[in-house]
Amino acid sequence: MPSEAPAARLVEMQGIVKRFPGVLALDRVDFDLAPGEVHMLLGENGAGKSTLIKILAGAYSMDEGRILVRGQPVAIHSPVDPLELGLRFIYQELSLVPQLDIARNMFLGMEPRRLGFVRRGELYQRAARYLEKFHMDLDPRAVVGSLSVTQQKLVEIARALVKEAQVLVLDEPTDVLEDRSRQDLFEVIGELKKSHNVGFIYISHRYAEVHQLGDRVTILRDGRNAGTFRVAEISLDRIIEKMIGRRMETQYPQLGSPRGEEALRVENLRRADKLRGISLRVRKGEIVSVTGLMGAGKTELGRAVCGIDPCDGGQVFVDGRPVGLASPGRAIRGGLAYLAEDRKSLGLIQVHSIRDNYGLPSSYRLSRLGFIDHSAINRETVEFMGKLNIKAPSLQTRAGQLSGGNQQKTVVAKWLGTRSKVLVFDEPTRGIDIVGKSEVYALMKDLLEQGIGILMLTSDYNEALEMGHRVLVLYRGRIVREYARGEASEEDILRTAIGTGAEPLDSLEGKA
Amino acid sequence: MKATGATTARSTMWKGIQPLLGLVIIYALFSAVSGTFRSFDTLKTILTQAVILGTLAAGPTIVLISGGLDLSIGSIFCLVAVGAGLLLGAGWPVALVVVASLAIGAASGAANGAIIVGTGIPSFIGTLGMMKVYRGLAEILGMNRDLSKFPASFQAIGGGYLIPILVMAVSFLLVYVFLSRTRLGFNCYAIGGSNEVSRLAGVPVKRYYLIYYTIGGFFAGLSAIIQAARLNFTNSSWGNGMELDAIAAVIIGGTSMSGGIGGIGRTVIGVLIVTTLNAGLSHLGVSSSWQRISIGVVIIFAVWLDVFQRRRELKA
Repeated sequence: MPSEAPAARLVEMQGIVKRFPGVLALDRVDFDLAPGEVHMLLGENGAGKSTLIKILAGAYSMDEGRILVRGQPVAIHSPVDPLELGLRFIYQELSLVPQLDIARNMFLGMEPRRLGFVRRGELYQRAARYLEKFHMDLDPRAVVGSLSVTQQKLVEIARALVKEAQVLVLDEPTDVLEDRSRQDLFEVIGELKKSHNVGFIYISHRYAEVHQLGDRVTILRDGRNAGTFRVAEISLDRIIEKMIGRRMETQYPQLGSPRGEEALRVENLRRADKLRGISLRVRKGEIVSVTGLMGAGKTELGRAVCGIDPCDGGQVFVDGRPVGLASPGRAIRGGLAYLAEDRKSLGLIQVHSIRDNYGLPSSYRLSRLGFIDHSAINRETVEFMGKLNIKAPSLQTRAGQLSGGNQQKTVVAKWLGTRSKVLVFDEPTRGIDIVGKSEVYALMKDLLEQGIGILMLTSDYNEALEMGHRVLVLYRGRIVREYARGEASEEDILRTAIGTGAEPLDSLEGKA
Repeated sequence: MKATGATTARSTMWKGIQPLLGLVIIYALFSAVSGTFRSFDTLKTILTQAVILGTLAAGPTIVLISGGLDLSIGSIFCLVAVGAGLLLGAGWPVALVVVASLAIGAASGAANGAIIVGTGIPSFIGTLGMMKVYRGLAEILGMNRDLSKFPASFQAIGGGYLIPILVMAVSFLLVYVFLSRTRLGFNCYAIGGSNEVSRLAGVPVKRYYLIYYTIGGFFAGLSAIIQAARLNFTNSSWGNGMELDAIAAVIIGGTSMSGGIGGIGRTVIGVLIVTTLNAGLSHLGVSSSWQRISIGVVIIFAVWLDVFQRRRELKA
């Protein structure tokens, strides 16, 4: 039916350009949505998916291009505009009230009322009628907080449809591993596009599901539309190829070879279903990349190794000595450092100065009889600011005022101050611009030359390959594959990461 | 980059000076209105009145910087006062009574810390509950009657000007050293700035909280001893609402309610602002109700000024 109807597309975005300082986020992107179809939007992190959707949602303004809704050019200036056009957005973060039940959530702000009192009976009847009409097998009295994430998505869809939405934009949550109700979600979407002629834009990170759900797929890469295809006409392999493509060149330093002695050894680390027996080794002067999809267990691995989250079993050794996993303090004294992905809330105290941030993890070493040696903190801070080329007016500059690259360097300085022997970098360059990235890479190379071992957790496959002496691929809490340097392409890694064509290796010790 | 850094340094300093400026203005205004206000005697009165509030406020300064809150220090104040009165009545030697009283204060604070850290409930709730508990205990022990006629050596602690002011000054000095020189103090700012960053940096956050609350209880006890010695009686109705007076003085001085920023110097200014305002207004014959209203206005103004400037800074 959609192919027949000359009827206007529900949404057309033409030649969309969006510039951020120093970055061309979207470069003349075309995208459209027909009634009654599911249009999948794919792309790696930073490819421009969310920027495109935010423009449609009125959260960003575009620099060039135009948007048509049902054939009419429209101006979207604020988040209210798309709602009036019948567009609804269902983001990763749920926007339901978890304490209320399904019916109350569906009719929030538009409850049937008489004389200012909510008519409860009618509320639940109407909710039940709608849920049936939408083919959703849900109890209107169920409290939303008790539902699975996918079921909550269904409630959000129902709420949008109650408000007569014609276009639904869904951003797939990435951190949910297994959820039996996913099949329900797909079935409901399939029914709704037929019976209500609703158009879906579906941002997915699970590429394996594209063929199950989508009618068409658009792949974004480096801010460009790398192609729009009927799903039936493109294989998963081709999609992956299109996603990776050739990208903008990042400057990577030439890595030397590792020294040989072992810096870090992890043995059979386990934590519920997040980490299912992980073993690995990092040598001095070596970077071992660990990559995988979101939710595969990268961050969990880093946090468990560094004693931040409790684990069910396993051992960690630094320089051959066992490290206590009971608290972050023990891991730090053992020579480990965890550099969190979220530098804003976990890496640095934004309202405190560079020097105070530097001194925090070293406060044990830099105090005697409980008294802090302030001059030593100052001296070392100045020293590291010079060594790592941290650009700031003074050591008293607040961390919150630094650029992303300088923040990351300050985090590194802070952990070098504890005399760490192994640094665990979680997404070391996420959110850092190209120049900052090169600086961070150069810094990592310097660290190697000082004999430090680096365990790098990253979802950037290019980074994993270029900056790793070895690449380990995680899939659902297990290391399923190890690649030596130069052995794999990004496509290989992505294929392994999504769980196709990889034989799980149970023990991956010492290929070195 | 350089320019923003410079402005920030300047604006930080400017913000630090504001409460002091406020204090000077308030003092100057009263001196201008009343010729007799500007005398050594009034100054002594202000300082003496500052003693109780000041030593009490030393505790919440630390607790607030660490990102916590202790609503029970008014009740601890009362419990210690009653306890000291009972022990003196029982004929304990003065020195032992002082030590025991301080220990009661510190132990009460430690219990607060243990409850908050152990259960994970918000400090507001935990100490609200303990506020009731300590108050009730004090009432049971004190049986709502005055305990008085303390030995002269005990009264000396609160008598005259010199000793109480000295005790307050030493308390401030100790807290200053604690906050600015010790590891516990250094990490107090970090914990208040971000609990999680501090934990990841290996700081034993829970143990430290226990210590901060213990110190808070200690100073509540010290303040109570001075008051009991000064007035030569104690009563289980004491200390009602004093926790809020102390927190107000800390906030007026410019220590952040959200933790990570502040200092004892600011608390000194805050305490002096409150006492000068009270002394000045009563000097002019203004009723205590109006004094309360003016303190309320000052609290709101001080915090609004802080919020307003921070918002403008964020925009810039």
